[in-house]
Amino acid sequence: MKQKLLTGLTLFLIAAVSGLLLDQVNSLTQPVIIEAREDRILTAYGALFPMLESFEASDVSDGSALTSRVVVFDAQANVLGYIYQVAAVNDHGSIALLVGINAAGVVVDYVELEFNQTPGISAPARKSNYGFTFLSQPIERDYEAIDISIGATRSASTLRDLFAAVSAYHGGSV
Amino acid sequence: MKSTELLTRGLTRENPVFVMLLGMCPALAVTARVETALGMGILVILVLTLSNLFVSLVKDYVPDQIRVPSYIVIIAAFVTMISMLTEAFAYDLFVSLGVFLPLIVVNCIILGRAESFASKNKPIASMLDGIGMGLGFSLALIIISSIREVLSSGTIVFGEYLPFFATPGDVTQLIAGVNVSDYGIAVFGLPAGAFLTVGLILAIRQGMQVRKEGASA
Repeated sequence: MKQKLLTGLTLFLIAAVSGLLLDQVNSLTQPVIIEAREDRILTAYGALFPMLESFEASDVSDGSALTSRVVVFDAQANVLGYIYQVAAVNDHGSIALLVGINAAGVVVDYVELEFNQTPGISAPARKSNYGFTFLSQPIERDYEAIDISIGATRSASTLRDLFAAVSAYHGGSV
Repeated sequence: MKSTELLTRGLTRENPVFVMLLGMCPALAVTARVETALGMGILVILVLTLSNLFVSLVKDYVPDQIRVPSYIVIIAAFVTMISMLTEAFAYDLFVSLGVFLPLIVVNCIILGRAESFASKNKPIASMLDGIGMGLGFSLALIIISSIREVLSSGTIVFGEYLPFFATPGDVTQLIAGVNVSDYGIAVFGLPAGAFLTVGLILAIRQGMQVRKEGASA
């Protein structure tokens, strides 16, 4: 019994020391990671709407894949468009996008904030290959009719669902 | 064993990839580009050195029944730390390595060295073994990736993923005035190219070994 307790205690101590070290490294890196992530998002806003002068961001918590909505303004305070941040997890990993929609409701561009899908296999669903399906198209459309049989069906299906979630929210909010 | 021998035996005589055939997953998966291979090599050297050091420090206090679980906890902790640091300070490398960064936890070289060397030797010797084996692993990755990148695209590009290469640069674009990138063999950039390259290197090495043994017999 004493031997078993000692064994358990040893393993616990190793795990505890590892946890403490992880906590220290996390407290060092977390602010840097968050700041870099915010910078990437701001850079992406500029890439989606080069005329962007200011924006108003709001969190969305409607239970869908949407996490935030941004209204983008030009120098004269006219609405240039909207940016939606959406994210989903499927069997292959996670996808997070920023979808830019102009004031007329057309998808101007989207940015892959995260595309953690199975390397190689998911390549046909990347923006450079599959993006044409969504770009320059009205956000409100029949998403069920979009072909996802591209050799990366699950990734394509998740992408389609993300755009459908944006469409559903955008239709009701604008 | 001398320090120099600990540092150098992983490079050739006991190279983890070409001799022991360990760590083949990253050797095949992240060697399409020299820069990502170099990044993976540096991270493996760090994890291997630190995990060997800590395994050696705790080896006398860990009962046999929980030896392997303890080593895995130590290795996983270091890989997670390195992963966090890479995401914070070398984000492009973090993205390019993708899932293969956390998979360092299950790299056979790391657990193999912990079990076969660090658990039986003193901390300094274990650290040197970690550095030596890490260097051998990195050298193997650089050889494989150099062949693959040059054959697939005709170039070796630096400056996209690692923070210490300030600007993107191309070191072998022109050879004798010919733009070799026009003559790239695409298959070497694909997974099949990794198997072909590693297979050819192993065959050449084996051939040299057989010839050497024949000459000495």
